[in-house]
Amino acid sequence: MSIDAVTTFLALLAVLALVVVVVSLAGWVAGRVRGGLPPALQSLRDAVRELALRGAFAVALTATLGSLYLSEVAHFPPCELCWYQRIAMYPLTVVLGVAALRRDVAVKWYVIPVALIGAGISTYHYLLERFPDSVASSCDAEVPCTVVWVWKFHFLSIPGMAWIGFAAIITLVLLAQPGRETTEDAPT
Amino acid sequence: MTDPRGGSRNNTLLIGGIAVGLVAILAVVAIFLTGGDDEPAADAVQEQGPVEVGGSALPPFPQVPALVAPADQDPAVGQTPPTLTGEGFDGERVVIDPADGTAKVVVFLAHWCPHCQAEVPVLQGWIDDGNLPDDVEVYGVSTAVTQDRPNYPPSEWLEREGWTGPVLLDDPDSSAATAWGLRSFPYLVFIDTEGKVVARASGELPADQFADLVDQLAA
Repeated sequence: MSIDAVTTFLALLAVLALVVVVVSLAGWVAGRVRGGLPPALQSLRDAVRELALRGAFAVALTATLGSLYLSEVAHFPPCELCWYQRIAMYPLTVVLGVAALRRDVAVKWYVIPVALIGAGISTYHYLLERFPDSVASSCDAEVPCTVVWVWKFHFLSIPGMAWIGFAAIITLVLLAQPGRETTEDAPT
Repeated sequence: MTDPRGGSRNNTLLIGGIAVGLVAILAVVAIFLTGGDDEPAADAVQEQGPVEVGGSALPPFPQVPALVAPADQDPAVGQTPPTLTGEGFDGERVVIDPADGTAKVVVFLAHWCPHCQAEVPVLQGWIDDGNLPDDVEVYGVSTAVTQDRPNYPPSEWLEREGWTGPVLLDDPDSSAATAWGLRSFPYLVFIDTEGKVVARASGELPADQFADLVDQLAA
């Protein structure tokens, strides 16, 4: 696969994750307004809740591997802000991996603060890319954070995808609930 | 009644299966959208070239909070930059000789830098409006060329922008940019008819400031 194909794939995954975030938010609002979801959607929601921790782990793993691909294979040098986002994202892979194995939904208390910090840095980085003149009017000869390496579907850059990753992780750990049978199936 | 636990497990399997299936479909879509394999190598146009630097280097652009370095803070003012002998996109010889008797502006550009991308149409628009005096030349130097970076190749970018001046291609070590004291992109050096630096600027220089400096050269 070419670099372009991989970045397009990552961007498509980000769009999928964004859909998950938006649908979850819409479901939550609808549940609040209508005082509960229809039974068919409830069972769907319960199924999603059971898979949510594994989903969050998959998002963190994809973001980590994706960022490593971009720096080590595609040779896009990570700028300073990229590194701060990596600092937030990489440990989440390990933490969410362990939590998914242990089905420990309480992990959200540790994951959400880190993911919020990461999303904050992504927001700032994305705005810098959109408005490069706001910080400087020239590019440092090294690696400026204003350079846009990837631009897909007219709205997705690398920090844009990172933001969606953090948002999806927050959404999924909030959704996560130990399934009824999983507590019984858990090893003793 | 059906077993609620069995129903829940079926739903979980279904959702998991849909998720995995979606990811696989997206991979296929990505390959389809981008045509799969790497693009073929570019044609005969070159993006970098050998550069010969004749003369002593200019001091680096001073770190000042201004686009145009004030003359009293720029040690390069009054100095003569080294002669650059190199090639253009089509392999033609391009020489930037400060002391050839013609006043000139040399603009160092990096194709991936958003500020360079913004500056080129400003300068070219000003030139296209007929503002450039006949006795002043504007040279481009394409430097810091990196194939993996955005907006590659610079030859297509400058052609797209309708850049009319001669373009000298820097070498992979950025010898020309280093010898002329570049610190950040874009970087502009204004040289009078005697080959001496009148002013240096780095950043998105507005057309009116560019015009003022060109006026100093033509005077």
